[in-house]
Amino acid sequence: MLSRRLFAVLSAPTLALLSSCAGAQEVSEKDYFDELPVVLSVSRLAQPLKDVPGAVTVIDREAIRRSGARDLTDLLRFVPGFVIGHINGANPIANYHGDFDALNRRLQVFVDGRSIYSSLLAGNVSHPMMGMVLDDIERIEVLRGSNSAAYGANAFSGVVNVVTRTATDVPRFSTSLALGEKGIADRSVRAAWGDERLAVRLTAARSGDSGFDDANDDKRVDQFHLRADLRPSAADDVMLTAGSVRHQWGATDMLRSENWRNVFVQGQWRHNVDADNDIRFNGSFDEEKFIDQIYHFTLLGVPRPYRADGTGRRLSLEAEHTTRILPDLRLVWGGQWRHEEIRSPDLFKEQTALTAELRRVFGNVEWRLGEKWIVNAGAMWEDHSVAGPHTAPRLSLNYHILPGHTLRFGSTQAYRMPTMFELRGNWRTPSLPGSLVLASGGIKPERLVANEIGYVGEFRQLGLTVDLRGFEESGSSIARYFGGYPNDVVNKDRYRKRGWETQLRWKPRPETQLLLNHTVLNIRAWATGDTHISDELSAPSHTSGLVWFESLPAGFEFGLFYLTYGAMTWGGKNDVLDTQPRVDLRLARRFKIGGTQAEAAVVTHSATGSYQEGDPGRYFPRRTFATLRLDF
Amino acid sequence: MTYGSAGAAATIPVWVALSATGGAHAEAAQALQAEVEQALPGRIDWRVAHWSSFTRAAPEPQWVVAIGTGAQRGMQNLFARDTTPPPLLSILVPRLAFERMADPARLRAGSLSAVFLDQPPWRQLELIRLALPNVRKVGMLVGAESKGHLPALEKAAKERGFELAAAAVEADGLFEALQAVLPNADVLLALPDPAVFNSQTAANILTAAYRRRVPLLGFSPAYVKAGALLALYSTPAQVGVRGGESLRQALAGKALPAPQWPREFVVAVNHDVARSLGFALDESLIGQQLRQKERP
Repeated sequence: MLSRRLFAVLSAPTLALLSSCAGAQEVSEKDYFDELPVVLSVSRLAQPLKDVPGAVTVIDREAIRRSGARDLTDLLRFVPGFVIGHINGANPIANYHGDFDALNRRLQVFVDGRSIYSSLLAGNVSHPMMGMVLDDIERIEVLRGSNSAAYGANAFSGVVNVVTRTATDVPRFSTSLALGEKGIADRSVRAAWGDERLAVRLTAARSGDSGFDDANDDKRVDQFHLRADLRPSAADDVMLTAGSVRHQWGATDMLRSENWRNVFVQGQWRHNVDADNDIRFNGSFDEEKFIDQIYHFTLLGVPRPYRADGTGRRLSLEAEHTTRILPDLRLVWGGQWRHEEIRSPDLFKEQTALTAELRRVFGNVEWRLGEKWIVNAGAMWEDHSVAGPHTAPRLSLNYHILPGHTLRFGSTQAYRMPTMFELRGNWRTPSLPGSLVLASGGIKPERLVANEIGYVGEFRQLGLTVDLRGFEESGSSIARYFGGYPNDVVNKDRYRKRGWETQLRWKPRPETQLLLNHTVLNIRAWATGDTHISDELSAPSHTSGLVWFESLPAGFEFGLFYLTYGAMTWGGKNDVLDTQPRVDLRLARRFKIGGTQAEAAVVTHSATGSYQEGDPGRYFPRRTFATLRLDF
Repeated sequence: MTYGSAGAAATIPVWVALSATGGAHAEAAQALQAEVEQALPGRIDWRVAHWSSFTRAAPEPQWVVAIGTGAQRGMQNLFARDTTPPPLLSILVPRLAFERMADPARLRAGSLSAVFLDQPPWRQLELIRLALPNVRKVGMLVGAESKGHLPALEKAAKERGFELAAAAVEADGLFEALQAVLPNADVLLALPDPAVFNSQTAANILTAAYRRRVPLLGFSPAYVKAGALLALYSTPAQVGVRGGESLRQALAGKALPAPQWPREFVVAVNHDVARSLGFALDESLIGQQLRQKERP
């Protein structure tokens, strides 16, 4: 209730202003002839799906709300081509076209324009991906396929772009609670207030569960997020975000516990110069701390603790200019400078901090050739202080065959810069002499050449949209840990992934929404020296998914989620997983209690029983939980 | 102060009182004069000036045209004490402003009329139907002023099978009103009200609506430039021509016609916004279809 009072106090001057001016606020012809600033200038307008140089899946607010998902990976499960795995119940991993190891470093994830990844943990995005509250998300745009020309080296396999809700888009005060089997206990509170000039949103959340059966992977995520949107003038908007995330698991475990903490601040300023020119500046600072406590048994069977701790810091500054050069030619260009500093005597056997710098220059043009053709061409030049310079180009042609039907041809080359651990890692355990991983530093960036052909069709009368992507992705110099004892990080593997994927969205009537996904993926892998079955099955040969949302009378809602995988392996191991179909169910009711909007739901994950999703020893259990959300 | 044709005895003295000299008001005046001159060349003794420069000392006009809200108020005040004031035609005024100022007795007597600047509700809704055929729910942000448009809009919406969703801005603040209306709207219809739509709030409204992919139908070319998908408006010249027609009719000895909406209008499209929202709109075709609907 405090927040309501806070809102009333803060907004009182605005209301007073409105009423005091009421006498003077009579309509006249002036209202019709006044000039207005350009608000939705070319750069603030998103490319429509048919003009985008790649395949995009958008997960909107409504789908997020009705998904029954508890974290971002749950949502990505229904994006074509995405494969979800678990190291354990506390550490889900999502990647496009699979290819897992313990660290997820080939996917780029943005939250409000800030790249989230762990500098310390070899670019891993899995921990940071736990650090968002789904109810704060307005939209998730998933760019399926490599996009380094626009987003840099991290966008090796794909890009997940999370856009959060502004204070102006959320209720003044919200609270939610989820309780259920397997120790599920999630809760969050959020307050929002402000006016046309300054709007602030604050969210605090704690979520947790006891993880998988037979695994000591109880999880807890504590997070706090702030977003402030300022509009100092009609031509400027400023966004400030700050937050802290703590992802910990294994607190009750005798053998291993991990604790990853991150605090961040970010500022973004967009300035509209004129109708055809916009500039954007973005700066962010991230600090992370990782505590990994492992009990190791010595040869005598005595448990001895050892640590793999570290800290990381990252400062990133970016400037971008969007301009319309000709009526049909838009250019976005800019640069970025990033400084990373990590310190971990446990992982690098180095007392001092290791630093790396990255400089980038990028440019992308969108050129419309008549009504039929759109050319998107771009390139990014990156210079890494340790790995050296590389250029990632991209070319895409979109052809509008008929209104609502677009064909797309694209080709791109991407490099993934080695992470500090891959370059300088030196990881030891107390029980063994020497190192488990000793990076010689000879590793080069991984390289990917991707060609695609796509189709986007919109059948408005039927309420149907069709997205089809055929692809060939050739990876080379793929980094692997190799050598046994110690492991070096070497450019070892090559692969060629061919296949196609489709997504159908069908809204046959206002109450019904269906989403159908199907992916077929064929992997050929070559490793210097030895071949593993695991590489060719590092992602399932096919994946099919169905989402069915139904709105029922009296505020009831129903959701069914069905997913089936073909055979796959995990993390370089040769065991083929026991991948049963997964079924999730959700039944909810939205109702009003006085002026309060309430939503109560019952969700079952993996309703048909436990199945393997990730590490071969781990089973995702069936779990049912109830949620209650109140919007005041 | 300008005197038009140096009057012979047979010329008819007409005052054209401007709310502001230059700009839209002058444009409307010129169009009105041209329309009348075309039919009655040289017959009118025009006196075109800022409303404040007209005094009772000057020879009494036979007809008075007020261009804009300020001029209407000024001319009404000037002749307020007269038992038979010269007939007044007010043009380029928003309907609500006109009705607030108009003396009902003079309206009834036919010595006061208007050509409004705003668009009739049916025209706004027919445009939505033509340009955005999938739209069912029309959202509006209303303030104390624009509330006055609701009864007529509701009637027109009902006849055309639209649902209206209006959120009051002054009671709850702009953001709460946006939150209330955007989820229930397929299109946002902007209604002129300085407390709701002004250069300060336009940025917030346009961005909030765009984020929700709700297109905005504006009431001036400035809105289309700023980021509205569509705008429907009449130019000052179009209003002036309509005013000229009314005056001609009156000069021909008939009564001053009842207050009217402008007949001619412009449909404008922001093609960048249309492309981004996935619409393919042809403003000239839509305008033509809309005109055909009104005058088959």
